[in-house]
Amino acid sequence: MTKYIRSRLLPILVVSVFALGLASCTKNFKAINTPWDGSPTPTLPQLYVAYVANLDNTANSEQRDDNGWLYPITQQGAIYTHSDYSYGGSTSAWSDFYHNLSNYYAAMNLIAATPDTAIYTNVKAMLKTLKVYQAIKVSDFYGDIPYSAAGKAVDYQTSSYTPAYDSQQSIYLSCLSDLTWAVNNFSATDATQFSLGSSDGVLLNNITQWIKFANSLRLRLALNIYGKDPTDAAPIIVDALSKPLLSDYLADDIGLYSANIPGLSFPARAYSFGTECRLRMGTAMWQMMSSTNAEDGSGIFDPRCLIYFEPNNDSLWNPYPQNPTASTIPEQGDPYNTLRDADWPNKDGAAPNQTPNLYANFNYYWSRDGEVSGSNGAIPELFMTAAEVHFLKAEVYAMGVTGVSQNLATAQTEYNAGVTASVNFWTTMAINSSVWVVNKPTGLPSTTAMTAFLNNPVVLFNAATALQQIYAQEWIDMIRQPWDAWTLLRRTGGQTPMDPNNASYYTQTYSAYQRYQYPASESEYNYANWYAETKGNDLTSTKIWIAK
Amino acid sequence: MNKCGKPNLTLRLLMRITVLQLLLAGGLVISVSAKNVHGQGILDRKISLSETGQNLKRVLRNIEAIADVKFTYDSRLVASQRQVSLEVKDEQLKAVLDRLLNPLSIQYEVIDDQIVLRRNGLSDVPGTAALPDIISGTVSSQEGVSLPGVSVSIQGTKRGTMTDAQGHFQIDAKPGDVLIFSYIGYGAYKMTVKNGGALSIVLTKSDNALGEVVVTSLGIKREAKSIGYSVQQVSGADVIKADPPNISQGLMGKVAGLNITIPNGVEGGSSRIVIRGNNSLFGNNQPLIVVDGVMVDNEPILPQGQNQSITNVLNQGTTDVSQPGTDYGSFLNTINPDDVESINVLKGPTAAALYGARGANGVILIVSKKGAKERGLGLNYNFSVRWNDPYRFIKTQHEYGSGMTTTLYSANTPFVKDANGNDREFVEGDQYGTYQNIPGGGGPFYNYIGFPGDGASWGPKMSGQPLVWWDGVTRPYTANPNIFKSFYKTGNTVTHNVSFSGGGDAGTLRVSYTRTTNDAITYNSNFTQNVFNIGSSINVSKKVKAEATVSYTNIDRLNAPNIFGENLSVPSNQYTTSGIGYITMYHLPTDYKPLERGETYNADGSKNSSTLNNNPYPSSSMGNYWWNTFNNNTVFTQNQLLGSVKLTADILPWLNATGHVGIDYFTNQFETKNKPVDAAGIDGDYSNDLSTVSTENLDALLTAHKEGLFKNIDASLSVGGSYYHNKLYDISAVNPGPFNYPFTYNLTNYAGTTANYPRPGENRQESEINSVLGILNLSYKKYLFLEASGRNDWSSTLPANNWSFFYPSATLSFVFTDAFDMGMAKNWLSYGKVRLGEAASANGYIPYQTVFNYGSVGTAGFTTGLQVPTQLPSQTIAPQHSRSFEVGTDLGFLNNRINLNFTYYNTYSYDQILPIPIATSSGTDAVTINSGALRNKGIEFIINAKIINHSAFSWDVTVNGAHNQNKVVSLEKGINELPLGSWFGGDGIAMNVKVGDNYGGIYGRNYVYLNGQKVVNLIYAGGTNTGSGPVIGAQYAVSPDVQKIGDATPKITGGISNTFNYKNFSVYVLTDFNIGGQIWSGDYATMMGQGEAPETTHERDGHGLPYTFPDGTTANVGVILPGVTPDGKTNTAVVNSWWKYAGNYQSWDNDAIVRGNSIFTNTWGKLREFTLTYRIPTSIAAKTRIFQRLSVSLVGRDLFYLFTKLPDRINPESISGSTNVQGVQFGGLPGVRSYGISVKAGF
Repeated sequence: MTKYIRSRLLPILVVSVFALGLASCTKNFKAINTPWDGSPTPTLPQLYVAYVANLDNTANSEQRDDNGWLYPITQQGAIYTHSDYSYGGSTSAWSDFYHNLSNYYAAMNLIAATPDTAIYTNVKAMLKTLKVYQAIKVSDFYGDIPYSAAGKAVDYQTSSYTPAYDSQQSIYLSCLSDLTWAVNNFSATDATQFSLGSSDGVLLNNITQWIKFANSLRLRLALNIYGKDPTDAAPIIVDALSKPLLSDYLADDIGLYSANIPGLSFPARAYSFGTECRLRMGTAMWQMMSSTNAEDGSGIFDPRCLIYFEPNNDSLWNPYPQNPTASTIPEQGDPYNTLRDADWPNKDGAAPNQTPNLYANFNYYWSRDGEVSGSNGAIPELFMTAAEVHFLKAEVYAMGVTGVSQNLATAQTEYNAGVTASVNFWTTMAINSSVWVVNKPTGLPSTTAMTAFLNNPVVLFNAATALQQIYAQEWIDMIRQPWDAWTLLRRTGGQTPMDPNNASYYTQTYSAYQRYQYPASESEYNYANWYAETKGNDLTSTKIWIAK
Repeated sequence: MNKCGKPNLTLRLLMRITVLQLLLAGGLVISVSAKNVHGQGILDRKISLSETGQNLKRVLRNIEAIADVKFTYDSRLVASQRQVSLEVKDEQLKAVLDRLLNPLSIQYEVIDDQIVLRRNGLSDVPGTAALPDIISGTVSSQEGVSLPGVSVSIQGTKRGTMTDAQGHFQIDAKPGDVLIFSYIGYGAYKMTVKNGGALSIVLTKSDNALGEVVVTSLGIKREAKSIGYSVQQVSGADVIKADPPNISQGLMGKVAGLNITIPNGVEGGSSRIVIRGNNSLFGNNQPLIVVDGVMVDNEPILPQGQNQSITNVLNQGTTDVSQPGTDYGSFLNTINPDDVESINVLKGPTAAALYGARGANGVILIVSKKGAKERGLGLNYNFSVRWNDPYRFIKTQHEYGSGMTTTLYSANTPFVKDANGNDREFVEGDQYGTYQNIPGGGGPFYNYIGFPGDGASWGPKMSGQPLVWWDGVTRPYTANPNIFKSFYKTGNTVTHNVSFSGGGDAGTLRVSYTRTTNDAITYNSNFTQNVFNIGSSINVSKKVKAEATVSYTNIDRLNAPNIFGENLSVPSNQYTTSGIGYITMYHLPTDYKPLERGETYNADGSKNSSTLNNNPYPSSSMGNYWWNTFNNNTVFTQNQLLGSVKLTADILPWLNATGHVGIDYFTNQFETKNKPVDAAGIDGDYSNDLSTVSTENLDALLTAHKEGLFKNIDASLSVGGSYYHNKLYDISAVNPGPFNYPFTYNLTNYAGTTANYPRPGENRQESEINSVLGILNLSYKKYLFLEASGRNDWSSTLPANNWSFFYPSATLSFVFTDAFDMGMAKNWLSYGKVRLGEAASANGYIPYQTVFNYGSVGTAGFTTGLQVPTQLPSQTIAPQHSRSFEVGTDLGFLNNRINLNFTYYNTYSYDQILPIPIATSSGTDAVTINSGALRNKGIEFIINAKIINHSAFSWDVTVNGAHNQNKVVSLEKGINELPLGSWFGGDGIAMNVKVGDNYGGIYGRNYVYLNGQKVVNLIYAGGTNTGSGPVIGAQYAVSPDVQKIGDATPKITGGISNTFNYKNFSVYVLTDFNIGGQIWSGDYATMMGQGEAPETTHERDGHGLPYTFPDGTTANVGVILPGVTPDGKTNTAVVNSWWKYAGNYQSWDNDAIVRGNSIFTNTWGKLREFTLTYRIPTSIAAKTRIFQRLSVSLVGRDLFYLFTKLPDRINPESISGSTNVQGVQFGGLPGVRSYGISVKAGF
């Protein structure tokens, strides 16, 4: 019997054990392979926070990589040599935007899937506004880009992996349509609307502000295309002027504020304005801020000069030539060295290896603001300022568009309001910044000082040169938005300030930089569409559609 | 640049190695080899002998010693014989034996290499004797040590047993049965049952696999002849012959096709092992390591629970080998070589089919020692000390000191002046100051050549001029004969191993403790490793046997150096530090004087950071190097418990079962204490990072076997299952300072204001594979063997609909020398086998990639966000597959004195699971799909030869080699090329996989050719090629796109070992070689561009063309770059030779520059291991009454390169990192040779 059991039952037993084992082969697999981080089911606030985080990423990496190019191109600053970062080498604006399109569609799909979709109208309008802001920024860098078919890879359709390009005109019009929808559908009074509350790091669910932002953005976009497509732009301008716009220098400057987003930091600023960018105060800006070339700064009339820039190590205000010549004395030194936290005046580095800092610099605090641990009152990453909107309005009234007659008086009012808002805003930023210690403004310019400033011959509104003045002051205000200043430069056909000295240098060196080349991933993985767009000639010298 | 790999060159190199080794062997070889190499057979050997009244057994033993033969006999046969006398001189053995044995009525017969004695009138031919059923005896080694666990089987049956702890066995055998004794590492021995009584069997160690028992998949021991695929075995003793730092290095050059690379680093670093090429485009290409049945990986140890293979897959193509992290070693470092019994390398999926998915890259099976009964106390003590001498430094020129463009200004190269008008040493800011522009209107130099390091040595000639140094001291301006040396010192490694081994009826036991201490060649870097190991074989019952091993390893490693780091930030202290390779290869000029170390501290012990200028080159982090080295301490601690229990039960005569449970549990801890830089002890930082990893695997196998299932056919069938589960958890946190309590290192001692410190980090990985498998073995007449297997895996890493996947294998082994009457051929062809195998294998993926999961946002201020992943997972991916075919032969010649093993294989790995990049404008960067295929095909050969086999002197040679071609067959449709990684990205070097190319092509900008000539761009003041004004410089035109400029795949790799034994001395020499395969040498590019390479002084020394400097001075420093200008005209422009070197080599990533000029064929041969051992004769050792054995060895490792094609003593083995990017060299540490003493004693 025992033998029988051994010989017959044992194999049966073994087979049974295997069978049982097989049944449990995959018992815990789902649990084991479920990601431990993140979530397969995000909420709308979570997706929205990710959307805004993406904008912050762009702000950081873009400045780090692009400041050394955009400042000399716009002539808002000068560089004494090029940095490691190649022109257009940063593709973060591109990749961030398209990654964010995925987030955008995910959020919209989430809203669409909810039974009470109507309560998310405000959120949809916010998302549309932010998407437009980001899309236009990227389109202004590259020109035509994939847009209507872009950002849809999550549907796993092979066709979605290679989105076609849209013309910049169609992108602008589509974006303007989105903004119009947002402006017309935002409701600051509908209590049933879902509130993102503090998850809205941009405006803390302040719908009134959102309406102003969306509408102001509409005005910016419309003016961007007005020179090329006045038919479509004019009605929008008219409509935008009839609706709320950003205007207050304290409340209406839109961007990412550390006050609204606890824990927000700006880690790239050390690089964006540090040694690596090789930035110096340029002669173009200097000519707009100082009435003389006196190196002691006695000719400075623009209060923003003392906020934007600082003198060299010998306290001399000598800007680096915007268009240097062979006789330009080479710059060196390390004025953005962190030794200056403890030894502020020393812009040469430490003995015995001091190297003289010969030229006036960008303000040291630009590179320290928001970067120093524990700092507060950091300058926000700006999307749009109240001053810019005043200048946009001034531009409309100065030139007149279909539906809005030329009105130079109103233009001057808006111009002065823009200049004042700009001065007050940047002065406030300096006052509020905890890292700002030396030569820190203690209060806003007095009315007298502002009046004197507004009456300075360079600033004083002149009907004959109104547009140039408007553009110039907008250009000065955009010191921390060189990409927007670049757009302004291109759409106005170069009417922003330029140093006329040795202008051929600029022509030879920078005028061919009209746009960025598409990232390599386009020619590698979206070749057919890329080729259809470029015909194989993806040139930086090709003017984008809005450019004059 | 340099082509290699032609057969004639290869042959020449091999011959060169052999000749060099022969020279090492010296005249000894020549003097004693004459008589024996011509011997035609055992009985032809001539001996001289004088015995008077001696016991027969003793006489036979003496003959064994003199004639180098082996007698096999029943001990009773000689015990009963009277004493004999014999006097012969130079007579053939046959005559001697006739004279000796005929009078004693003893017949003899030569079987293989044995002389079998039998009583007259009885036959050893099977079936002729009628004697007791129980045969017993003992089995021992040539050294007289009992061998437990020897397989004793009866030929033609499945009956068998194993020897016990004393080497004793009993077996039911009828007269005529042929007993087969087989044991790992020893030649199999056959004995025909003749009569009763105790047998005394002596097994001989074997260097070849022809007659061995080898360990195969799942630990199954099989006769080598029945195996239809390639498996190579290395004994533990061979691994540790020359005291290797770890098993990886102990295997170097010893296994055909085992490609082992040790990345640029110091002892204790990781290793990368690849068998038969890369089978995965981006994932893990290293073989599975199986230690006593426990499955582990040889992944490099990384902080925060990171896994390199997973990182490579998830961050495809973004690996930047200019910045590999700190190398804390890899798993094989923790296996103590002293505890290893044998290592079997199963190559390719054919051999590894039974390990399933995880064995797709081959398997390295490590069997640990289980103990044995030994004479005396059974106590062994091994001691070794090895000094590690950094001796082979890169060559630099010693004539011209630091400077970048000053050499362009005047024949009298100017110095920089200090504030007092004195000539001063060049410092880093200078090149961006007065001399930043190319004279003549060329603008800043870095617009042409990028940013050089501070090692730039284009300065004035060094002739002892007084110069104010950066520290204010005036010193003579002279060269430093070795600018690197002050960063290194002689290190050492000391190992003590104590083991006890014993056995009894119940089984065997071995207990071992090993302590290794290492002091690195870099400062303040060391490690200690303690290993406790217990191995046991237990006879649980008559039918049940257990083998159990448990090993506990503790490693404490202080400051594994970061070789490559560039300006790594130290959190709280707001300063940066850089790695030693980066600093030495990039930032030391030829006039470098090692002064910074003395400037490290303030008087109160705090860091001298009052000024950045406690060193000449602040941006190199040089000023922080020594502070960091001595005060920023990271201790890596690993505690590992590895245990295995295997039960074997003979349930029925035809049925046995094995069950195995293995556990690998370890913790990795990285604790960093960065000493506060201030005297108050506040500005420090602290971090802690702890990983726990557990791996469990359970296996069960039930085997039914039947002799004579059909006529002449034996069969066995095994079915089984296995369970594998792996889990990692890591938690880490950082206190970046400032501290609340001074000099107190913990996470809560944080006085800063940032809200989220100590910032916690977490990581997890978990996966499981369950399997069932079946193995069918059929044997026809013991010379034709078929093995077929099938396996079904369920992998948790795949989508539910693809959890399950099946793959089969089949192999055939045919011993044709047993099957056919070989006739006269048997005289030279002793053994012949052909084998054939075809196998499939399949593999899952990495965890967590099948669920569409929104990822967390790491940006500060937005950590509540969830975002769409930028790499889309796939819910439909299927397992990736591999299909392998191999054919080979094992041949033994001249009584197996020469053995040849040859294999051809062809492995096709397809349906790879890849994150395929797609246009980011789609909204994501990559989508995970099954796509792409790789093919590896190649050959492997092993030749063993007993060139001399005399009792007094022997010479054994082993040559192994392999050639592998690793082709990228396909990627995704529409994608022709994908990046593996890069060196510095941008305009640096990239390694890509491209359809149709070998895996691992090296890519970079290259020359532009016009009519076959290189195009030269001429630089004028008005711009490049403008033609306005005089030519002020010249550079080779650079291709607009990156091109393939090199191929990292070696042509042939292998090793040659020679073992010489003379009486009690033995000499062992191992060389290994790598022929073909290219690298891009960052060190060469840097040294040439920075004017440090000796080559760069040729023109500066006046051997160039007449050249007029901008200041009107003249010197013969001019060159014409050979080539044509863009208009096709021959270039005739004479430019400063600076352009030839700095202008065409030096650049990191910001300027496109020709990269092909730093590509080299990395062919090298190395004297890897050398030992000279003296074994005290056993008789003398016995007289001490203390020692049973005692041997002393002089050991040398990595002694020198026999040849290398790299210039300027660049380290051929300083490859950056152990990732799949294996074609870039940079930051090379000096070559390190080791020498020492090893003592092995048995008590």
